[in-house]
Amino acid sequence: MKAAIQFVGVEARYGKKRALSDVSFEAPVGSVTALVGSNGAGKSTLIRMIVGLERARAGKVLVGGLLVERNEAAVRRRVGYVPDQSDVYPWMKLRDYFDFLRPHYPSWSPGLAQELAHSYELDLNQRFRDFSRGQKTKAMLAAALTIKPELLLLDEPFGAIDPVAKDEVLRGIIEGVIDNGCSVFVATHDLEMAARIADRVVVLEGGRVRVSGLMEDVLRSDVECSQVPRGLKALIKSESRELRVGA
Amino acid sequence: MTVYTALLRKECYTQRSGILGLLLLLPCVPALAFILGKPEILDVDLLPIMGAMVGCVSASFVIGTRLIPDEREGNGYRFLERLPGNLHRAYLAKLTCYVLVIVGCAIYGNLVAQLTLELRGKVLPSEIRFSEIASSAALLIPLCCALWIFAASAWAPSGALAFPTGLICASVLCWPAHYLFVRSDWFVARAWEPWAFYSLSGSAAVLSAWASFAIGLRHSSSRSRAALVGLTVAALLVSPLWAWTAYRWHRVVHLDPSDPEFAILSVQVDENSSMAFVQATREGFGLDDKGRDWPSNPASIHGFRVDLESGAWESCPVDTMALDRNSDSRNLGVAAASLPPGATLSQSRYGFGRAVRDESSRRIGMYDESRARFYAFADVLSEVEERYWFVFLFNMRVLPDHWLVRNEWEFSSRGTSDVWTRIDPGTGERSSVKYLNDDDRIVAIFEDGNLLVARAGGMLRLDVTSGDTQSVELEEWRENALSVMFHTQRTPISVDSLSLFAHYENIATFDPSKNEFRWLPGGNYRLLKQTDSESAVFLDEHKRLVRMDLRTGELTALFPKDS
Repeated sequence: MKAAIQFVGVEARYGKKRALSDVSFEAPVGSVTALVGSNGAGKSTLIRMIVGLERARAGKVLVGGLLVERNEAAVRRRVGYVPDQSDVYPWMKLRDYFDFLRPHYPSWSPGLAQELAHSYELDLNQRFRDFSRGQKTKAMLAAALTIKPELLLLDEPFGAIDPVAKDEVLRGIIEGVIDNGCSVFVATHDLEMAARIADRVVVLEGGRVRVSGLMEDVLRSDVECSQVPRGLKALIKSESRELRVGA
Repeated sequence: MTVYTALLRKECYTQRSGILGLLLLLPCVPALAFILGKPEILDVDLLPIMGAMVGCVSASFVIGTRLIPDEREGNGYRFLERLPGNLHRAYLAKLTCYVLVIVGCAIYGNLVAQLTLELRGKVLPSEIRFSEIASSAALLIPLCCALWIFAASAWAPSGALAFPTGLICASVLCWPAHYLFVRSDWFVARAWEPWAFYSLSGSAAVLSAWASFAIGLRHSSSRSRAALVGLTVAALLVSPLWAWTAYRWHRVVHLDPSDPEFAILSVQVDENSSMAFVQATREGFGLDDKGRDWPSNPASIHGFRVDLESGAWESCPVDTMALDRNSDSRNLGVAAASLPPGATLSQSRYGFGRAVRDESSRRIGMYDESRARFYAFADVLSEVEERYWFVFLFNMRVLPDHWLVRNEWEFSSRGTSDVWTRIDPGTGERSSVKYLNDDDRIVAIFEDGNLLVARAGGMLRLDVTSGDTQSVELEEWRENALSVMFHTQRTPISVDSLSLFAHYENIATFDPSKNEFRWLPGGNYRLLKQTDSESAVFLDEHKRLVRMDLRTGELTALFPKDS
């Protein structure tokens, strides 16, 4: 099975503080992997490593078989990335944002961008500074989906989106990406959302992978010392991941 | 639209207010002079150049200090970094935008200034038209400064500090470049050096800013790391400037006689002709083709003590020998060593004849070897003002028992008459000299007291007791040049051995037995000392000391020895 993402013994530091330690896991192509963990567990660092925004002190990060540190541009062209906070220039209108991104991505589809903006109820002539936090996330998600990515990286995407819109966005992700055989890697501490969409899970604790694998295997496993798997188990028992299955 | 044009458009859009401000501000500068009622201050020929400079400086202040800091302070670089184009292309777009604005503002400022001059009805001198100085390397100076301000904006903690930081860093890091426009006697810039220096300096600024922004800021690095990266790259890239300047300085303060640029300034040969003190420099440090301009920087003058027998040499302090900068006295060949011991007499600038100065009394006079006594001019020729003594020195000769003096120039007519006068320095007694005409010039004195005299376009050997004359054979002689021919040694001519005479740059031998002059083989030789009747030491083309066989013209290198 070809890996969409592969981490091999990765270590990361911020000064003297160790952010990630001996992180190793794989996310197969076409899978939806939830990266869960409490605040400060290292989720965002790990996500940023996948697009080459952080450099591993040790180990390797591969995306679609490409070593990230040597193929940053190629990896970024294949990956749709939605950061946890908007980094887009506040003065940019959504239309300008799309126009600006267009030459960066050969697979960019202007029609799809407009379609997604419309479905997310975003005004193309509105500036980013006038968007709500949720709208900003939607706008970045629309851009990430417009490039038709092989891998979609979502860093805490649902925190700022209202519950009604969250379902719409989720449906959009599922229809636009997952059903086309692309991989999704989503970092979240929203266990409910993780349980609803992911078929694989990576649990981070203190910068280390506590457990990783198929959601079912993790739930069957005996890892009781961690609060995260416990929470996941409770959720899945109660809601049975209907959205994912139903889609 | 490409990635690059998208990024460039974005930069131009974000800086639009600054650019617009510059377009409005620059015409306000000359307008201010009109408003203040002092338009005449604009009537300067350099106004177009000043306009270009103001445009360049304004652009660097308004745009150069904002392009990178705005991105950094707004965290926009994190957005650019996650795109496939990454920070490298973003930087290229920023740089392009900046250079376009700088050049555009310089041209705009120039046009505004030219228009101002037109309005004032002033015609711009053709020699300072902007298009004509566009090829000058000096134009790279403001461009370099602007680029350093841009670079400093990538290091400085805030954009407001970029302008002063950039100027300070440019002046510190590129210190060697100031030698290009500050006159320095040891660093005479070659034609390519300004271009190389300013190009390297500008490139260092550009690459430093790139390293700081595109390398230093990526991967969530801190701003201090970005600054460190930028400064390190800047220091590394300007190091060739320092290295080259250090190399140039090394060449000034270290000189090897075998160096092809070795040039001898001055030589003093000791009485025995066994030792010479050489002062030398490197070609290009003030030494002109006649060797008459000395370097003003003492560090570029080197002293050598040379053994003329073996050619062995050693460096020695320059001030171990007397500096003799008088060009005429160099030809005299009178070494300091020939002065009486303990007499503290100095040849100094009183180089005609054997005039010396008594350093204890600071009086100038003649040292009479036959009497072994110093006679001050003030005692012997008391009626001549001190400032006119040099006039007499040219035509003054010391014979065994008297001096022969003639006043030649009108402006010193207060002194002795313009006929030859015989003076006894001991008693001060004077008498006219019958055997010499008014226009005669004494070229040399023979050991027997007779004279070699230039008279009426010819050379005579004159018997002072009988007044008899014998004509002297002159080979290819120019009659009007006789007056500048003189005996190189200024000592009485031996009656039976060759003597040397100088005529401009040429040397002639005089054979008393045949009564004839013969030119020595060609070349730019300067006689240093006649060592014996057969040979003499010469300075050859300011390059080497040679011994010449006076009969055959054969040369032997003494210093530096032929390898």
